[in-house]
Amino acid sequence: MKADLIWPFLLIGLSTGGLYSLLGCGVVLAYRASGYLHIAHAGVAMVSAISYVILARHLPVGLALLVSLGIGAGIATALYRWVFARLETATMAAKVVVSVASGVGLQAVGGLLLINFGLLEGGPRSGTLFPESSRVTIFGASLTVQQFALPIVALGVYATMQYLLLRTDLGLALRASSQNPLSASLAGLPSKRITTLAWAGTGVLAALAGVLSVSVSSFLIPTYLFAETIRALAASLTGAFTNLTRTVIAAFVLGILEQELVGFETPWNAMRGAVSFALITLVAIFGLSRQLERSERAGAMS
Amino acid sequence: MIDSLLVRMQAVGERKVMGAVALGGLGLLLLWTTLSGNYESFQLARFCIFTLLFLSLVVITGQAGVISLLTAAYFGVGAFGAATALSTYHLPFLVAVFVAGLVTALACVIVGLPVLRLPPAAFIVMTLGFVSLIEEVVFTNDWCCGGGAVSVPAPRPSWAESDPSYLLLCAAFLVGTFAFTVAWRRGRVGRALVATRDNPTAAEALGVNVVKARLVAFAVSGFIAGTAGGLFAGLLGGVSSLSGVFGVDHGIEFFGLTMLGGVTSVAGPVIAAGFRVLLQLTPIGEWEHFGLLLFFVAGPGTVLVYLRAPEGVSGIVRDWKNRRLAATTRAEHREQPAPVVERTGAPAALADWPGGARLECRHITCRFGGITALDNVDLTVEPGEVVGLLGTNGAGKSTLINVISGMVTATEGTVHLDGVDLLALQPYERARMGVSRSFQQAQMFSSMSVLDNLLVAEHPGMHHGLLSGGLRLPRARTEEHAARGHVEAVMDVVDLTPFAAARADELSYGTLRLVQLAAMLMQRPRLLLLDEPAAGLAEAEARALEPLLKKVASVTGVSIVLVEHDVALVAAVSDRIVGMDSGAVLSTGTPAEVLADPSMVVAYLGLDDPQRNEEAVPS
Amino acid sequence: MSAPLFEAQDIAASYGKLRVLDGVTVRVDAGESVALLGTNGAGKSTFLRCVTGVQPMAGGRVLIDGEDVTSEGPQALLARGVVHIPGGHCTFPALSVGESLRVAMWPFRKDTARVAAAEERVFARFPILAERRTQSAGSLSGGQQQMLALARALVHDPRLLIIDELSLGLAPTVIEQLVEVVVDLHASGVALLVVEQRLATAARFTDRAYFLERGKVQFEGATSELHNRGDLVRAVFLGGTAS
Repeated sequence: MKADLIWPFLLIGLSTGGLYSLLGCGVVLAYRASGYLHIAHAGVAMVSAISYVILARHLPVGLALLVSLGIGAGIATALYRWVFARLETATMAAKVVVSVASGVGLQAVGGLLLINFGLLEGGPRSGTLFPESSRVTIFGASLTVQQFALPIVALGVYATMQYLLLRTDLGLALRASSQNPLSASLAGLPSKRITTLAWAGTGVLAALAGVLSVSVSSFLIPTYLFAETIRALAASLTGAFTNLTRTVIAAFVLGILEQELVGFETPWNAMRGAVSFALITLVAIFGLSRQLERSERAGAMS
Repeated sequence: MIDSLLVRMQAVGERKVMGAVALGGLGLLLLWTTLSGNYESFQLARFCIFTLLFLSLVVITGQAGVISLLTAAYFGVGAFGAATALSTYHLPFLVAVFVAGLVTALACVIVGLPVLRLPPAAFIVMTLGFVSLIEEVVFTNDWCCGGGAVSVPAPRPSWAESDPSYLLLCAAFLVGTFAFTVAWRRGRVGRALVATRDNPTAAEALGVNVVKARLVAFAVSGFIAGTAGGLFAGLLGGVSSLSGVFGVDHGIEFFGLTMLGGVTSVAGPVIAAGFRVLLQLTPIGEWEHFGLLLFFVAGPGTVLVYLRAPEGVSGIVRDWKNRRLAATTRAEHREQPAPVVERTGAPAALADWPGGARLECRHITCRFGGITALDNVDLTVEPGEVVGLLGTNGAGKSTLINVISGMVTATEGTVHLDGVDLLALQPYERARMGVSRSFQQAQMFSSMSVLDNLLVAEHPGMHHGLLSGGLRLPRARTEEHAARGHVEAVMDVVDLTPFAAARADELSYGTLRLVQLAAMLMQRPRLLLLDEPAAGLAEAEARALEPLLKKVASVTGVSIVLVEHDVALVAAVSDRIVGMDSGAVLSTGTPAEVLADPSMVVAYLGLDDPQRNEEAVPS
Repeated sequence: MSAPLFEAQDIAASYGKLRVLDGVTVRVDAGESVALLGTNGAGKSTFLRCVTGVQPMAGGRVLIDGEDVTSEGPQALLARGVVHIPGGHCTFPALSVGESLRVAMWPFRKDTARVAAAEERVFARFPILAERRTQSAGSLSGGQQQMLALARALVHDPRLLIIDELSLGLAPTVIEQLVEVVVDLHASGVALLVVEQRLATAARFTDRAYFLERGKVQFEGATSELHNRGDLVRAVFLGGTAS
């Protein structure tokens, strides 16, 4: 590839990586809360993003953002309360089946919204979170403000989550419940409430990813953000679904790698997703298979 | 009316009835559609192809227990494979479909390899990645398969050019695959596969090669999906990435629909495919995007079904049927401990039983870290003798039988079985020598019948493979017949005959323990190591175990080491009792002698000073 | 006469098809010390988990001071001064000692004065824990982990301490230290309900004992009597053979 393209693609890669990282944080939170591989995370993000686009037609963007975050939290909480919480003792396989199926259900909801609000025909869109017209140009890459903001928000979310987990009572309670549910509930921790709260958190994170990724030009479909969530799952795999820092690093590496591949010639640029994905999965699998087994056992217990 | 029908059906043989009904129904349907025209034929061919495709999920998820979201991708590989074989290499149509099947089987095995290493969550993520890999590399890339939107033609053969004749071809494929799947599922390979799904550890302990069994399932599943893809390519006359059913979203939809239909029965795919094709045909009015309805069914439908009945619609139907049957024939089916019949001679099939072995353990010492679990223990069991081990937790009883079976390595000492040095052998080699150890948890294959559970134990002794099993060749039949004879003889010994057809997860705990005992006897052991056979049993069941164990000992002549907390059981069954405490033998003798020994009573209840348990390490 | 501090009536529980408890009734009066004896798999730990509400039970009632708290969960019991220390690995391995205590004080975490007082009391009793405050619980020795478990219970000022296998897998000298703490607690008026494998250990700090076998109470009486009267022990021991 041409040397002068490295930097622009790096910047775009940071933005992509930021999105993966945001989604990855949600996946890790869900896994820590209930040992769930949260494939339906994509569905929550997609429905929230579509809701945002619809709401932004009538409401100020900020308010639309807040309402969509609430919608995301609501969906995730409902999923946990009505579906996932009933399968706590089920096998990992059963959990995955239900998680996948819930995702499909959300896709149906998303499709319904898209049809009813005429978004499939490219109906009127309005306001992204940041003005679409103003762009930031660094190292020869022209980014929208939103693209520019994504990695910053992602890092902010990461820092906030680390703070919450490590420095607050709530985070302490979540860590205690996930390490030893029996002792935690005997200590009087309201495990169910804490877990619900964590799930609401995953919903907020999903919605944030959805809203920040959606732009005037983005192509809204029921599988919106699905591929990205799979990338995020791959990133969280490197952290055995529990390690936030590793997940975020892997997410950024994945994003950058993918964008840099665009600069290569055919057929590599056409396979950028697959190649980088395969790479990171292999790293995760061969580097971490033992840790994975451990955390899966812990996950199955909680 | 329904009930009497169900009962009569069961009498004739349910599978035969269902098979006949299905074949007859399909025949009528074919007759009707081929007469009525192209559109109907086309749709029915779709139905056949999707049933075939979903059948591949029954093999991989229902039998091998692997979650596969890749079905759509395999479908695509088959379709593109067949189309390429037809248009580039000009192979005959049937050969092209066959090649497509092989290519997909290979892809399926390659993707499946990591599952042998990975925990399920990681495997799912990886397969999802593979879907995008296949999509980007194969379906949409310029340098392969026409790439992008360019369609690769897949001309139908001249003898099946019209829709009705093509439908007949698809139906023939479906019936053939169905018959094959049903047959091999019931035979050696299929049984081993379900066993590995239900309980991989136990299956491995019984000599099933879990890795091989799973890889076979992957290959079969891939082959079926590939042929379905090939037929699909022919149905459409050509494929492109725009054919629209090869993406990851469809993989998930297929998975959901099949789970909804039920993956533990071959009826599941029929239900799922019927659902899919019918939904597509229904006049949808406002639902211009029928796919949505599909998603509503595959998503929330699966969630609902899964929360209530993990085996899908076909499982619900089966449960309903069983309930009706149970209600009508309750009197005969009621579970009650069968009366124990004292028998003088062994049943005919047990005539070649190897008899008991002589076990001799000398100076066994076993240390873990600082703990001495066994301290210079001697134990001799004469051929056909029943020796009970009594003692508290931590007395070393379980450690001793673990040393004999090879799960624990002794620090010092020797163990000989009929003069052969056991300590030099691997656990599985000791099992071949006739040492069989029970576990405190009943390790069963929950979704299989008692008969099948026991047949799994015969797996290593049988040799027929997938093809001869699927095609029911004479060799497979002879082997199956011999294996069944042996199982029936063993079931007779432990009074399990009335439960032969019952599913393991429908049995009471006590009966399950008997199935476990029978599974051990299947291996024609010469030394049985029983670890707390009465644990968890109700009082009556524990008492019923006494005559049963005596019968096993007298009929088979096997030597038995019995570890048990139930003093009454040990006293009743044992010829000799060895009392242990803190890793050492405290007293040996007849039951009456040992039970009269005051030190034994004290040791059993842990009345001694904890100080004696010296050098215990903090855990 | 006033209601006993703790009473579990007719507790029944199953694991799937396996009936583990079949109508077990256990009573502990204020200030009393009671042992729950029985062989492995007799259902002792299951009984404790059922009565404190962390495991669903198939039947029975739990009363504290005569008040029905069945299936209200551990919080209700903590509020009434009943604390359960589960057996085996009951620590949070990746949390530090300080964090573990903080988790234990969750119900009154906002009451800073009470938190400080409880912490001070616990550290005074277990100085070793104060030293290891920032160390992760998983890196402590077995005895120290049990001390931490006791400490986590003591922050609640319990009236009744339910302990599952205090001595499991520990060296005799360590057991000795822990027994001393428990004896001390009992002397200061805390009632005890203790699961023990070894009668000799139980006899040192319990007044009354229940002997559990096959999910039923086979014997109830003074622990010392059970310990000292060989004939009585024999009767209990051979109870199974009587039939």
